Amino acid sequence: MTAPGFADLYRWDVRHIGRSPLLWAVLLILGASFVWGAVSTANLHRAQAEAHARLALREAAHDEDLHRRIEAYRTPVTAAAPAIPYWQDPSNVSGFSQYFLFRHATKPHLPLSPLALGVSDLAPNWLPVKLNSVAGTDERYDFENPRGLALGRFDLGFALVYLLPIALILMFGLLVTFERDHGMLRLVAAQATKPRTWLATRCAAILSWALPSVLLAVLLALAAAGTHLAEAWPELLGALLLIACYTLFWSGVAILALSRLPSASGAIASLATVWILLALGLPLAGATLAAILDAAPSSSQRVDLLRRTNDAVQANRNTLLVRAFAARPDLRDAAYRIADIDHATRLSFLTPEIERRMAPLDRAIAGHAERQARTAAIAGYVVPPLGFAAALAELAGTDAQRQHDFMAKARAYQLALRDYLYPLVQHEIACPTPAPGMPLRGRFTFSRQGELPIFAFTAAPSYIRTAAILPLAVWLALLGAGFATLGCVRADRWPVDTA
Amino acid sequence: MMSGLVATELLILRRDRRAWWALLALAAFILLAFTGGAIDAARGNADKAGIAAAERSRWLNQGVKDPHSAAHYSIFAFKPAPALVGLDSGAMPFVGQAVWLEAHHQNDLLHRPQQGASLLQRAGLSSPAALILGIGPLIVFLLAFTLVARDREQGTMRLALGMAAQPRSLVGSKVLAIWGAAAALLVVPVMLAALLVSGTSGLLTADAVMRLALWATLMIAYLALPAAIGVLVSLRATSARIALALLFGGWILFVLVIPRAASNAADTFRPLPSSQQVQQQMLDEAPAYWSAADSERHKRELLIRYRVSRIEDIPNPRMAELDLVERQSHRVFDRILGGFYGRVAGQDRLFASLGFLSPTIAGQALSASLAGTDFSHQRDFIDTAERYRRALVNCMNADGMAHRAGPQTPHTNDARLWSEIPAFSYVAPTLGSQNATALPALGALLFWLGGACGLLVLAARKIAP
Repeated sequence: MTAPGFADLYRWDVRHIGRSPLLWAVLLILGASFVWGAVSTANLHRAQAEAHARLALREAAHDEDLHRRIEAYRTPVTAAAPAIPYWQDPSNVSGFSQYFLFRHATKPHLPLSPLALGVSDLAPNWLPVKLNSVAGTDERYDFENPRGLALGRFDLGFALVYLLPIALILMFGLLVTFERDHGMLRLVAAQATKPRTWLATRCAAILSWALPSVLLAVLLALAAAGTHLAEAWPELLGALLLIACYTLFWSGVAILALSRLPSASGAIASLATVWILLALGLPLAGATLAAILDAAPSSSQRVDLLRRTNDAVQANRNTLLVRAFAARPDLRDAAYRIADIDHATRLSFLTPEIERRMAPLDRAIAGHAERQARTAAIAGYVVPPLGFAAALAELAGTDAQRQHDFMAKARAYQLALRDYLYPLVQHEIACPTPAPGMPLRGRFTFSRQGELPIFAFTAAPSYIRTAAILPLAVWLALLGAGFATLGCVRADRWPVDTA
Repeated sequence: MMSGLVATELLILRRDRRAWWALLALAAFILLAFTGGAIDAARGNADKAGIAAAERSRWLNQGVKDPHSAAHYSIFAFKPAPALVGLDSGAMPFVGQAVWLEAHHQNDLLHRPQQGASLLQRAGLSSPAALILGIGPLIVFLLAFTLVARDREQGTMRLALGMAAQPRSLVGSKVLAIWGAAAALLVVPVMLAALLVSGTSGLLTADAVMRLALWATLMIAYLALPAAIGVLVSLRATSARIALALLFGGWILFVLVIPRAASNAADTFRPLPSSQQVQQQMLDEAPAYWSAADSERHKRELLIRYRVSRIEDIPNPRMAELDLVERQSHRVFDRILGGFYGRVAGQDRLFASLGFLSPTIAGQALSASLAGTDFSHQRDFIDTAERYRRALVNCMNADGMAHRAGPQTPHTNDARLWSEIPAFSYVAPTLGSQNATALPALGALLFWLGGACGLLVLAARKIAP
């Protein structure tokens, strides 16, 4: 008897599987979940972008208001209109630095952001930048319902990472085992076809329908979410490649689980166990282990240290100022003014000192975060759903690294503002701006409110993000191919009860 | 006779290695999740208690200063983790743990445990409740499939039914065996562990015991649902394949998809204003640093309030103005922030009501409410801390206003005044006092349980060899 070739069987299987209502029902539901997820994430990101736009308008309105106030204070002092206290006077450079600086750092979303929520629901995407906040910006976040955060949002990333494998499990588990569960496998086994050829062609046929449908559904979902696909084509190509490799990985797992041609119940039970292990069990065990082996420095301890440091610095502020003045040639002769300088001017000396004292703990916190990020990156290769989720977020620009870069940029912006304003504030100690002949209500030691440094957060080029996910894509493809090969090798005999 | 049947079914279950080992593995994961959560909570609570004591000491020993400066110095208040946080962390990883109770500001609670979490930390975030409510049904379905659908497929069910005096008792024994095994392995060990941990850490109050008992009852009752549905579907499906597809599909739909989709729907139908809008509104209406024009307006208000014609006739005009602004800000905070938190609670109520779409939603809402980890409990802490802040700031301002002072003759006070402020202490609300989300969820869960049991009884009546 001549065995049919792979191509003949494949052609037959593709036609046969393509007529399966189950296949299309699963793919349709999956596609709908992609659209829901992408639109949901796009709505969140749109709301965040609107907040950024409102902030820009508020900054402009604030600047205009300051201008109006400054003009209003350009009037002579009278009994009815006394001099303005420095903390109410935007024309006073020290008052401006502490009480009128209204600038924000914003993290714009990238064109492909609906692909994955990443950290965009949890991490702040805008920060008020104040001159004297310790070590960057004050901690803040956009309030999202914590129940929703705990449950997780239904986003496209969730659908791809968790629902796509389940859909593949259902399709492979039910379509490959159809003959066995209906007692027809013994008819197949009676032919000259080898079990591995039969398994390989059936799985290839399922994949031939599933993979293009999934990729097309992702494109449709992104388009439905309002993504300008042409603006992000390198990331989009990377995403499609990544999704294809993830699909191959789960297909490989399915082929391995089906290699002994089990019943549907056996196949689905095995595959569901693998899914639970990879999606929940290993991340849970990994996170618990990482927390035990490398516990995070306590945030409460940081509060305590900050309070103690503030107290210590305030208690010795005059000593610290004397030392700071002595070290500066331009201030050396102005030490007699230390008792008179205002709170904002004092802060320009004391805040860097507080930061210096807090630095060891802040470095420890940053070091812990870096170690955790490295552990998560390695875990991504051991637990593919984790790695896949991280790679999707990277392509979407909602990843933890981009957030980290944003926070670093916000800190750099704060330092740039300090470099601009601190010298002007401190210059007033030794060389105060001469008061005009007729005393005015405002102090008028600062007139460059509109020339402050501007915050800019430029995204890394898209090819860098695309290139960054390639190693994982290759790894997933290799794993998938390896599992599939192993499965085909194991599928060397028909099940005993069908032979 | 029933106990003998149940014992036999349990024996059959244990012989199916795949289903039994899956159940044991889930039980192990539940204990692992509890251990991680309990260690975190114990560590965090110890830290918070130590630093809260240090804060109190700092407050009392801040030295001689202007009372309003003391109100700015103030204290940080820390929210202790509730006794049952190891069982269900609920909203806790995503809400702040500490708040600075300073003058002029109702600050947000900061230091959310998950704020800077890596992907592994967030993906690995789980709790016994999440595992029982999420993965429990899948494992129970697997057990039901093993005991019923496979029996039917292999023909052994027909034989057993033919020999049984009461076929219904056979169905009942299968449900009881599945339910009993799941409850005994998934709920009882973690309940005992929680009892032990709470007892050794001094958190075992009568309220905690009651909450624990109800939480365990909830979980056991919840597991009855997949046991009944699993047996029902396995009995009625035309084949084992169909039964499996229905059970697996049902699990995906009711556990994975609907809860997240319902959460999105709650966000969509009852949207929250953005934090930027809320903060901007507070900044506009209750600025911590007001303008010279505002000062003029305040002066006019104070002249009317004190019924004097000159500001100098007010004993301490600066403090009077601070008090005026502070009290105005309270009304603004109540309206803006109070309204905002009310909308969050409204979202949670809507989500709990959607428990009629999926029992998992009802279980999640009830479990977090019983564990004291939902937003209503967080809101209670926020309100308690804010009441304390207002009392502290008002007391400091009142002391200032009671003493004549001016720019050249400032008024100061010392530890005698600071010690008049009691230490901040927080007692979590008792069971039943924060049940806005629990009641609709309870109704939904009872609806599901009643429906599933009713359908199972009907199916059992119709069963024939």
